[in-house]
Amino acid sequence: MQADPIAKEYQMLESSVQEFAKKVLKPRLEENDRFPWSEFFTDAVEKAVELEYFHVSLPEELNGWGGKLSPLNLILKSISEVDASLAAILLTNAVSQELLLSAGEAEFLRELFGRHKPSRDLLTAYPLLMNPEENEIELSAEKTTSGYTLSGRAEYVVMAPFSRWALMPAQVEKCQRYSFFLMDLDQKGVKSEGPVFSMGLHACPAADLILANAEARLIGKEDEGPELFERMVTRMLPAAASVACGLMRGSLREAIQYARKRKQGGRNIFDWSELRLILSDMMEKANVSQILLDHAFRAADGRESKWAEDACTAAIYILDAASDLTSNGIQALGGYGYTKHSFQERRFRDAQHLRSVFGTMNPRRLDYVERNFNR
Amino acid sequence: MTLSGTMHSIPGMDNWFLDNSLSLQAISGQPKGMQKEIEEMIGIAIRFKEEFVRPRALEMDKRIQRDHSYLPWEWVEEANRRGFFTLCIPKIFGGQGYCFPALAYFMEEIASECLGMANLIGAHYLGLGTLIVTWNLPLVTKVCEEIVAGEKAGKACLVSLAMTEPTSGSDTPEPELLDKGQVACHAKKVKGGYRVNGSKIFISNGHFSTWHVTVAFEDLKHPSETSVFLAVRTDTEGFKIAGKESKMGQLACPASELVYNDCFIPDERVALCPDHTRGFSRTHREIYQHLFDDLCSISRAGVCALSAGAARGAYEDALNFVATTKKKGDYLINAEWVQCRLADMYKNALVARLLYVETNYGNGLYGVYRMLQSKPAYYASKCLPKRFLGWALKAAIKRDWLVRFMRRMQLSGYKAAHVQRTAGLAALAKMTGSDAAHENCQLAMEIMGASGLRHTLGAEKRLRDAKLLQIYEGTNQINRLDIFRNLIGRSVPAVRMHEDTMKGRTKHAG
Repeated sequence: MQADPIAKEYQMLESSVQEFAKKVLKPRLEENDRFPWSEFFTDAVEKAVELEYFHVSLPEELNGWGGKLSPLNLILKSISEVDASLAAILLTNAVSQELLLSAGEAEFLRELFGRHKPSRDLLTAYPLLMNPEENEIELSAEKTTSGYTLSGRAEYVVMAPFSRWALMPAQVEKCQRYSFFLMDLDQKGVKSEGPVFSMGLHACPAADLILANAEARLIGKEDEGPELFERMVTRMLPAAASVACGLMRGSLREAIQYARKRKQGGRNIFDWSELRLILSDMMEKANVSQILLDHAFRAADGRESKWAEDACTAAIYILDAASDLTSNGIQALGGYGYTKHSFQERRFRDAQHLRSVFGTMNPRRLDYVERNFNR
Repeated sequence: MTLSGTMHSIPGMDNWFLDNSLSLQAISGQPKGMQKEIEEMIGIAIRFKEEFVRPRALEMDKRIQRDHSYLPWEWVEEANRRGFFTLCIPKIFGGQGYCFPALAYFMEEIASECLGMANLIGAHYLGLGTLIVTWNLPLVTKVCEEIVAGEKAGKACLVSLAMTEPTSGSDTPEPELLDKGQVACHAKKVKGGYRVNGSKIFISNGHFSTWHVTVAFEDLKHPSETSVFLAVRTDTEGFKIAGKESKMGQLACPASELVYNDCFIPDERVALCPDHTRGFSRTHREIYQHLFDDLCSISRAGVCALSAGAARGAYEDALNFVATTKKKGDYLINAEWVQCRLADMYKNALVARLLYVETNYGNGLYGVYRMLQSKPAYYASKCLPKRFLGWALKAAIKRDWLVRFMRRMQLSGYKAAHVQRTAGLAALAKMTGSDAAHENCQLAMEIMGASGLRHTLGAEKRLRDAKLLQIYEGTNQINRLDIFRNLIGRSVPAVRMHEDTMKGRTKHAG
C-alpha cells in the first residue's frame, strides 16, 4: 500500500519541529521562565521564522500551507510539549494572520512576508485573552482624512513588547459595533506599560498599551468586528487547544518517567494504585484530547459539514482538561513536581492562561450550549 | 442506634457515631476561656494581616520569583517582634500560653492573605509540637527558653521538623512505609549521644530555624523500631543547611535541604530514642506509630486551617472582583453562573473551617491538647503567676522519676481507637480542606478570567500557593490511605495495607 503523501509530509513536519524544540528550546527553558529578568529568546524566534513556522497560516505562494489547520496544530503541539511560550507566540501571530486574511488583507501579509525582514517586523501583537463580546472595549477610533486614530487603553496585548505591529478591536464613534484596526507600534502615540508580570507563559510577554491619537488602519469594514472575530475564533480556538494538548503530552511524559524510577515504601510509585489512577486519568485526558483534536482538524481541512461544531467541542474540552491534567502532573511527582527541578509546575501555570484565551471559560460554555440548543 | 453504634452489623461501621461526633463529646469539657483566647488570636492575626502582610505579600512573592535565593528575614523578624513564635508556648515554659486550637484560627486568618507567611509560623509550631509530643520535658524546657529569649532579644529562634529524606517519599512516612522504604539518615549510638549522617529535604523554615527536630534511625533496615528524635542546633559541628528549593509558591517559607555529616548530638539533646521507651508496656514501634498519629493529628488540622484561609481568601478576591467589575454594562455579580460559583466557594471555605475545628475538638478530647485543655491544668496555667509556674517546672524536671512517669503516661497510656479517631479525621480534614482550597483558587481564576492571571491581583499567587497544600503533610493520596487505616479498616479483621496493586495479576509486556 502506498503511503499517503500528505500524511508523510505532516510526519516530516512534526519530526522537524520536535528536533527544533529539542535543540533550540529545551536548553534554555529555565532561562525563558525567568523572563522579564532574563533575555528574551530572540534567537529561537528568529530560527522559528527561518523555519517558516510563522508562515504556516499563510497562502501557499507565501510558503504557507494554504489555510490548512493540521500543520498549525502539529507545530503548536510539538513546540508546546517542550515550551508553551513559543507556541503561544506562534498562536498570537496565527490569530492576527487569520483576522487579516478573513478581512481580505492578504496584500498586507504579502508585503510583510514577501521579502526577508527581521522577525520583529513580521510579528503582530494581539490581545489574545480578550473577547470583545464579553469585555468592555476601551479603545475608541476616530476617522481622519488619512485613515483612523486610536485612543484609550488596550489590556494584555500579547507580544506587544516585541512586535512591530498590533491588531486590536476598537469602537468607532457612532458605530453600533466594534471594528478591527492594525497599527504600527513604533509611533509616537503608543505608550507601552512594559511586560505584564503574570502567572505563566513568561516568555510570551504581554503589555498594556495606552494610545493617544495613534494612527491605525481599518481592517475589513467598519462594524465588521464581530463577524471577523467569530470566524477567527472558530478556527483559532482549536489551535489554542493544540497548545494545551502539547502541554498535556509533556506533563504526562514527565509523570510517567518519574513514576518509573521513584520508589515509595519499598516499591515503585508506579505500583501504587492511587498514583496509577492519577496516571490513568492523565492518559485518558491526553489521549481523548489528541483524538478529538486530530478529528477536528481533519474535518476542518476536509471541509466537512460539521467541522466547526466538532472543533469547538474539542477545544472546550481540551482547554479545561489541560488545567486538571497539569495539576495532576505536579501531584504525580509530589514535592518534586512543585519545584523548578521539574517542568510540571510551569506547565500547570501555562495551562491557566490557555483557559482564558478568547475570553473566560464559563461564558464560552454557556454560549456553546445556546448555539447547539438553537441549532 | 446507641452511642457506640453496636447495632451496626457492617464491619467498620461500629464506631460511626463516636468517630463523627467529636465536638458533641468535647464541648462540655472545654474550658470556657478558650473562646475568648480564640477571638483574641483572630484579632492579632487580622491586625498583622492588614498592617504588614497585605501591603507586602505580592512584592515579596515577586522578589523571590526574581531571586529564589532570597530569604525574607524581615518577615521572620516582624513575626518575632509581634511575639508570634511564643504565642502558643504554654506559660509554664515561659510562653504566652494561648491554647493550641486558637493557633488554627490564627493561621487561617493569615493564610487568607498569604499562605507562605502562615506556613512560616505554622512550621515553627510543627517543629515545636513534634518536640512536645516526645514528652522530653527538660529538652522542651530548654528549647522553649531559647525561643522566649530570642523574642526578648529581637533575634528569632525557630524550630523546624526534619523528616522527609531524598530517597523516602511523601513527607510523613508512617511506620509501615518506613520499614519497606529506603531511609538513609543514620543515627549511630556512641558514648554520650548519637552520631548522625544523612540528609533531609523539603524542610519548611530550615534556613530560618535555630533548632531542627530531626528524625533519624539507629538501624536503617528496621527504622520504625529504632527511630530517634534529635534536637539539632544549627551551630552543631557537621550540620549544614545545604540549599533552598526553587518552588512554585509559598515563597515566604523556604524549603531547605539539611545535611548531617558525622554530626554529634549529645544525650541531653536526644528527645526520644529506643532506650527511653525500654520497659514501657508498648514497643518502640508502637510508640512511634502513636507519635506519628498524634503529630499528624495536629499538623494536618493545621494544613486544613491554612486551606480554609486560602479558600476564604480566594472567595474574597472573587467576590470583590465581581462586585466591582462591570461586563457589558452590568456588574459581574449579577451573572447567575457567577452567583452559583460564589456559592460553591463559600461552601468550600466553610467546609474546610468546620473540619479543622472538629479535628481540634478531637485533639483536645483524645490527642496532644488533652492535658493542656483539661480544666484544672488550663485554669492553673491562667491563674497562677508565670514565675511560680516556671519554678514548679524547674523543680519537676529535676526529678527524673517524675519526668519518666509523665512520659510513660503520655506515650503508652492511650487507647489506639482514640488516637485513630483523631488521626483519621485529621487526614480527612487535610485532604478535603486542601482540595477545597485548590478548587476555590481555581474558581477565582475562572471568574476573573484574564485579570486573574496578573500578578498584581493576587489570585494567581493564591493558586500557586494552594497547590502545595495537596502535597505536604503527606500527599492527599497518602492521606486517603490514612483515612482508611484509621477510620474504616481498623475494625475489619481481613484488612491488609500497602500491598502491591498489581500483585497476582498478569503483567502486560507491551
